[in-house]
Amino acid sequence: MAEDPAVRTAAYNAGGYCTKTHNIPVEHFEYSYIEKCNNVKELEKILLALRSGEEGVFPHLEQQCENKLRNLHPESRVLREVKPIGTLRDLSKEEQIELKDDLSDWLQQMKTTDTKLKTETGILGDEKLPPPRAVNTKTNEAKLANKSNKSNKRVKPRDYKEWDKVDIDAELEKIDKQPEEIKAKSVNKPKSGKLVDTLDPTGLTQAEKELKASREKDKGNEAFRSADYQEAVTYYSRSLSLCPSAASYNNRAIAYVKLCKWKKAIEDCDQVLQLEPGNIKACFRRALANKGCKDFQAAKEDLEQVLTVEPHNKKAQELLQQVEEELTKVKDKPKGRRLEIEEVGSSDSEGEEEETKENEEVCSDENDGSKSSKLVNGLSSHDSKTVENSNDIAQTGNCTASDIWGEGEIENNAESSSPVISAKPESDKQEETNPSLNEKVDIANKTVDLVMEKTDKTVTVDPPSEVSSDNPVQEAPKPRVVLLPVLPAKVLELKEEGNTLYKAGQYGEAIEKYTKAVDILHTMPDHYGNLSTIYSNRAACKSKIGDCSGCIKDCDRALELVPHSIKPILRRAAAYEASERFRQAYVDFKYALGIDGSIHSAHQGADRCRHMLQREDGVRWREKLPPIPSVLAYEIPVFTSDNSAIPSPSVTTATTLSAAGDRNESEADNGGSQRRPSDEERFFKLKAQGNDDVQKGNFKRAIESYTQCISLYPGRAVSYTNRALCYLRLNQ
Amino acid sequence: MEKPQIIAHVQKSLNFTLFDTKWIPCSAKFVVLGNHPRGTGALQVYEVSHGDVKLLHESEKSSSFKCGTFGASSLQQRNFATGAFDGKLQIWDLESMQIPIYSVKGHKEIINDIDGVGGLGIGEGAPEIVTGSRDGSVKVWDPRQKNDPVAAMEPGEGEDKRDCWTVAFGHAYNQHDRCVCAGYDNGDIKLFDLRNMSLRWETNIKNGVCCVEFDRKDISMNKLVATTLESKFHVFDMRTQHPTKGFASLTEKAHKSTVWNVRHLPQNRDIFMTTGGTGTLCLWKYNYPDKRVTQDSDKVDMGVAGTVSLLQNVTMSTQPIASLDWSPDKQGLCVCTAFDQVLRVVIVTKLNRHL
Repeated sequence: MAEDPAVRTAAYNAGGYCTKTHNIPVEHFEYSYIEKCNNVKELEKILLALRSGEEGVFPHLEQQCENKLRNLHPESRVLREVKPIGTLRDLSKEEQIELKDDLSDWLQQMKTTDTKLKTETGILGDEKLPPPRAVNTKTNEAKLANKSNKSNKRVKPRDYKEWDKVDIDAELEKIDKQPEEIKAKSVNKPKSGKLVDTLDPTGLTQAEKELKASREKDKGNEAFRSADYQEAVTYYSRSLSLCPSAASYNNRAIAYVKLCKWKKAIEDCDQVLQLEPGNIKACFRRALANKGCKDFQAAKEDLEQVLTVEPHNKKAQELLQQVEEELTKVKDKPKGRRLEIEEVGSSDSEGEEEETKENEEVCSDENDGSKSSKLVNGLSSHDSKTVENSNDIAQTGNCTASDIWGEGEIENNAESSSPVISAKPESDKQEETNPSLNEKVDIANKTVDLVMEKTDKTVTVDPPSEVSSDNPVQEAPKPRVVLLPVLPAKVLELKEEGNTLYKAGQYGEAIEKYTKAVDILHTMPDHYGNLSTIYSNRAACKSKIGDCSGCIKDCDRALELVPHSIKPILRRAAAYEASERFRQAYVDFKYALGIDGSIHSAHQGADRCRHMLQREDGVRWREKLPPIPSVLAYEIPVFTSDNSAIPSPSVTTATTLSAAGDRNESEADNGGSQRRPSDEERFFKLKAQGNDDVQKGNFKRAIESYTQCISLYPGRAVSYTNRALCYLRLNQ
Repeated sequence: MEKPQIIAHVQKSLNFTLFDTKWIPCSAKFVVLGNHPRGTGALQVYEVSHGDVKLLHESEKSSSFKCGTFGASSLQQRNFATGAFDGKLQIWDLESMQIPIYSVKGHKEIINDIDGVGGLGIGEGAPEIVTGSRDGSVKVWDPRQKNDPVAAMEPGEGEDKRDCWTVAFGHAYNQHDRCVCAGYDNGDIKLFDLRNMSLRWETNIKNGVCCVEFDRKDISMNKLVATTLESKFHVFDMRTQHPTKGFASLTEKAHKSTVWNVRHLPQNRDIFMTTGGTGTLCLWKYNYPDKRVTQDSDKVDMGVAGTVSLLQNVTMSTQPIASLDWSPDKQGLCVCTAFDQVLRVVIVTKLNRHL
């Protein structure tokens, strides 16, 4: 308590009595005081004073103090108590038996290993061993000769004070300056800190190999647990180089997944499944990896396989749901809100909870690779829902979440690049949002009008979220579909490396990677969609290092390849704004809003620019603006990966990004052929109502609406998926 | 989470003072070292069998044994290296104990501690043994080189010769890198880099250093635990060395007396047991911080220490527990000796859940 010292002094001054050792007013030795006290430190002191028996023994009070402290701070050192060592009889019957059996099994096993080791005479790996240290250093004599304060005789003991005098850096520099031939002599000089990822198994007996392989795997597991995935991969590789085992492949796969090296993860899972065809965990991990490299179909197949064996595997179910969502998204004709571009800049902080879980999994592998499916079952059964949710978000990190995070990142960008705006009063801002909103509505209406003119097809558009979505509108032409062919392995790798570097804040290096990827992709004309993405990513890097003009150029290129894609526009806008070209920035923000009216950062950016322009050019600032490009809904590019079906023109997906960057789960689409307008209208009304309810968080009502939708058109998948989402939200 | 239970499986009272005990790798056997009241060295080999330990063979040598290790021997040979009161380093073939296969008078005084690396598939590079002695020196031996150490670290002329109580190998993750850590009676800890032949780091933790151990010998240095006389131990994060601040560390109070020993679980480097002067055992788990590396104001990397949590705390004896060894082959099985002349085989259950 803050007033505690004061109280104490006051008590003391008033002639109160304090304990000698802990200086506690005796009045505090009281039930009511302890009950009220919430200060851990003070309680600890009181408890210690009570235990010391200095003021007498009060067992009840002591007990109460202990309990209170235990409630507040169970880890407190004062509460640590030493128990007498247990015996077998302290365990339950089953545990006793289990322990005994386990031990006798082990004893048996050790007997065989022991004799095996004695009888098996492998070639003693003596030749393989490096020579003794003294001999070793002979090769380095040239180097040693240069060290004035060191003698050539290494064998001779030396005291460490002498070593202290050696300036290592200076010595190293000297060595570096030495001519090459001397360097060549000291072949034994290793590259510093190198951990080789293969081991030479020659000269080892089978038993030794197995033992060593399992040790290397353990090291991998430990490294994995301390989140050192690169090191974990190295150790698993070492283990595999000695003695290939499914468990090591499987663990390396998850480590690769952590490092976002999807292809390698898939290869490892394939290996596991070759060795152990029914390995569920490998299947699940391959699904993760497939999802990572956007092969949703394959991911789906893997997950279905998992679920046939373990229908109740919650993790697999949730992932499958996501994958299916992705699949429908790709198949359907989205309005272009959600771009299936893998963007850099997803958050890293999400992975935490998953890690601990994955840790458990890795460990269970270590215990028994062959029983892994059973273990997964066991694990998943006590998984809490929340953990899983976060898991899945983390797992999708690069796809689902990235759009959102990408958006947020741009927002931050724009904000940080124009400090002037932050000084703007709050009310001002609010006022200004309204006109822009109106404009937004105008644009939306314009689009709608245009669309109305071509009403020969049945596709509906959900208007942007600001516009009331009660009246579905008929729309016509099919959106521009941009094919994203599967990237060649080399480019994929470069891109992934670039993304990882970006996340790690190594923008300069990321640019190098992207540039290489660009160079390769330039030779492949059908990869224009991918090229655009990479330009866009490189633009993000350039904006991060303050290269505004470079960023703008890259965005231009990206837009040349795929016009009207939203990310490059937003990035260009931010870059224009940062280089104080507010007119162009304003135009770009507006351009972006024409495509997706719900982008909060774009609204803000436009407002900021408008403010600046008004200050600069006065009331008639608008006259000096270059024209704002207008976009028709069908012009908005839809990205789709190569292996999925080309979207049919009659399906629409609309997923909105809410301003806060939260994913808006409401998803509206409809399949199918023309129906009688009355039914159709009712269907859409209900669906829109459902979507609205979802947005408001009223899932129960939404479920009712969707159920009615289903009764109208049982064939339409969307009502089911939307309802499923609501059920999920309600944890049903 | 259920706590691990520490269970006394076998207790055996012996008629000599026990100093050290080590499992024979890939077997259910262990060696016990000590001295007889008449001042001779005792070495006994036991095997665990069905709730008891069986004495396989024993031998008595002229000088008392203080410490031993299998660390530098191959798995097939499993030769045992011992350090004795008279400063002798000897290597024994346990099958025929008549004469040592290697013997050298390495130190002028008692060898307090010994450690080995490069054998048993643990640690890459040459097999080496390190000994620390009351004569203040730390010497590194290669069993293939007779008579002379391959490296020695001792105080210079006119320097105080501090009693070296404990030595440990670490950092042996490739053919060339290797470190020796030594703890002294005045609280000094010195870290010698054998590759560069330099003193890489030193610190003082105020109280005599009873035991140091790396969490693993055969990986890039990760953690180091040092225990002291005055009921404290320190855990250093060895991944990041700051040029002036050195390694990040945490301090923990335990045992209310000398912390004699620390031993990491071979199957999980983040779990370790400390043994106390009042016959207590404490089982700890190290929790890594969110970020292991941070930067100081000059943008120089420095480590961040994690925390330790006490998993279990039991009292086993009234006398100091001088040695403890985890079975490398069976998780949770360990053997320990105390100055009450009792050897105990102990089982720690449910360690898996803390992995």
